[in-house]
Amino acid sequence: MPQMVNADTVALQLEKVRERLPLLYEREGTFYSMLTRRGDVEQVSSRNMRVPLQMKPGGKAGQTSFDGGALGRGSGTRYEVAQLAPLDFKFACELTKRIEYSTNSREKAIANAVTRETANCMAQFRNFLDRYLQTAGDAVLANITVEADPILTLGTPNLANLMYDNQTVQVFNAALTVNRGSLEIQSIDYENAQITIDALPAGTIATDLIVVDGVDAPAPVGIFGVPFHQDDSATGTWLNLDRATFPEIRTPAVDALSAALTTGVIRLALNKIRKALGGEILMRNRLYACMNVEQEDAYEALAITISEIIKTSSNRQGVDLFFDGKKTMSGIPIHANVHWNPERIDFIALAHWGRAVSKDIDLYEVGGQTVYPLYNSTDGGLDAAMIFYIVTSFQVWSDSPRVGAFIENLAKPTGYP
Amino acid sequence: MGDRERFYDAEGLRIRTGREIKDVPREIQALAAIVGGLNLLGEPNFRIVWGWARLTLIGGEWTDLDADGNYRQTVGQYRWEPKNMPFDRWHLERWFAPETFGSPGDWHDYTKEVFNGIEFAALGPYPSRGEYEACYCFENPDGSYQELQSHVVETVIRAFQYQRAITDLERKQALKDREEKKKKADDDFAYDLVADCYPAFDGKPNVSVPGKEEQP
Repeated sequence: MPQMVNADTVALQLEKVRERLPLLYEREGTFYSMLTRRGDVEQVSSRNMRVPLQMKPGGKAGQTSFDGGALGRGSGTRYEVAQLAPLDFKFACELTKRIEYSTNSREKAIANAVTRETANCMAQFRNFLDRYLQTAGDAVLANITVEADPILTLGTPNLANLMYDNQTVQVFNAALTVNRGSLEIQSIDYENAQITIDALPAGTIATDLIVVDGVDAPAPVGIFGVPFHQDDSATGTWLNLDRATFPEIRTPAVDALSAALTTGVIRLALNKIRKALGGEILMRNRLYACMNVEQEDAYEALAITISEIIKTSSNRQGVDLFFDGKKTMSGIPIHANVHWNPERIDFIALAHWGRAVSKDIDLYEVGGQTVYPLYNSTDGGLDAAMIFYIVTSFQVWSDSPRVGAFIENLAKPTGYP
Repeated sequence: MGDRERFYDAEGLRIRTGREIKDVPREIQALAAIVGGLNLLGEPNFRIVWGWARLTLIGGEWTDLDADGNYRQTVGQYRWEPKNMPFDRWHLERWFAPETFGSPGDWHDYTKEVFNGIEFAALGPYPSRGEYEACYCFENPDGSYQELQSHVVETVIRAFQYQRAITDLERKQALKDREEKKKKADDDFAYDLVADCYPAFDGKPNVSVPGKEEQP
């Protein structure tokens, strides 16, 4: 038996990373991590998770006459069940053996490429999920406004915000009934909302939609993200419940009509929650004001907020009252996220949100192995390359879309794409 | 009903007070006016209010629930309600000129709410003399109640004044820098996490013995 070399232990080394993977995803900063830390987590099977909701009150109140009058019949509280099933997600990472050989000691490279790549994949997968949480349950990442092969120009509100370089995506028609094919993003010009692609799927036209890789037409189902749970429309369904039948599942909303942010629209949004559920609701449920930096900038321009810096012995002592620390909007902590819809502010009660998880984030494992060799497609021999996957299976739920609000169609301050 | 929400039994006797009311110490209110200055109307630019005591008119459709959270009724009304959250905290308010809220026509358009055919101004009438808006809540770092202290009030107001010197460009750049810092911190965190799992010095012996160091 030959002497064991470092290459033989790669799988073992990645095993050691496994227990640390969840730690990475709990790191503060993304909406995904906020859900992980503050939201509820339910371990579920692949069958639908059921969220019981007390939807309508019971009992028949009225006036009557006790002088022989009829008392009538009664009724009971109406309960409904919201349902959801976890979806499966993967992140594939592939690298050649040469990379490992060339960088596995300090004499050869300043950083171990395998280590670096593992870390990059973990960070990028987290990033992907955070972007995906900004979609409305249909896996749509962007809409095409101009098609000029190999460049696609994308429309508002999200522009190219929900995509990353080198990502594989699909093109569907506007009705989400036809899958025109896949493409790989070669580069992204975020400022001009344009992506350069490898090859345009046949039949692609302006108005088509870019959706996440791996979903099927018609009617693709993606993560139930923020715009899915925070929706004021009177049509469509939410977790199998009809919004037309149940106004109770519509989220209070304010349309800013493309005007800039004012204190008035913020108060309107928060008052709508109070009017629907009572003033105490905002005392009992901690809200977060979630927004992109565009609206954070707009809010700061109102000169109504400053940051609180909690000075401790380890903190720097310079005055920086404006850009760091805890910032609030009408007493509600601000959570800035570069993936958020830049024309929208969401007030979210995280205590009412959660994840239905059937598989926690981890490396994909078969029989204890997590790194797999690649086989040559021609002769079946080994290729000098390896692949590993980070996988998870979950869906996002909310048990009370009404405990929350959002402001939509806000103007962006000048200077932003 | 004044600034307290009172509950009466059938005979009209007051049985409990639902809101805690505090008065702002006069010297602290005066300090806020001195540090923050006066507006065009001769009123202070900054003032301190107690959450439960600062009421605002809210109009429109109200859904009332009973003490157990069960539905009671839906009505269209104007109600005086506490304006700033959390209600049981001191708040610093800043005066905003009427033009900040747009024209009276704009105000009517975006605050209009119709219930059962009746039109309500969801935020009350147009603030023709301007309006005080909450800009800071006095809380301890853990979110608990903080008593009013004059030096804190003065520091916070001065912070707002400091902020006025910052230009739009500086603000945008600072936000951009912060996001880039966040991303770099994320990447570093991930790398450190993975790197920690690998043997130090790529598994080589790392005890230094004089004369035995590896030569380049």
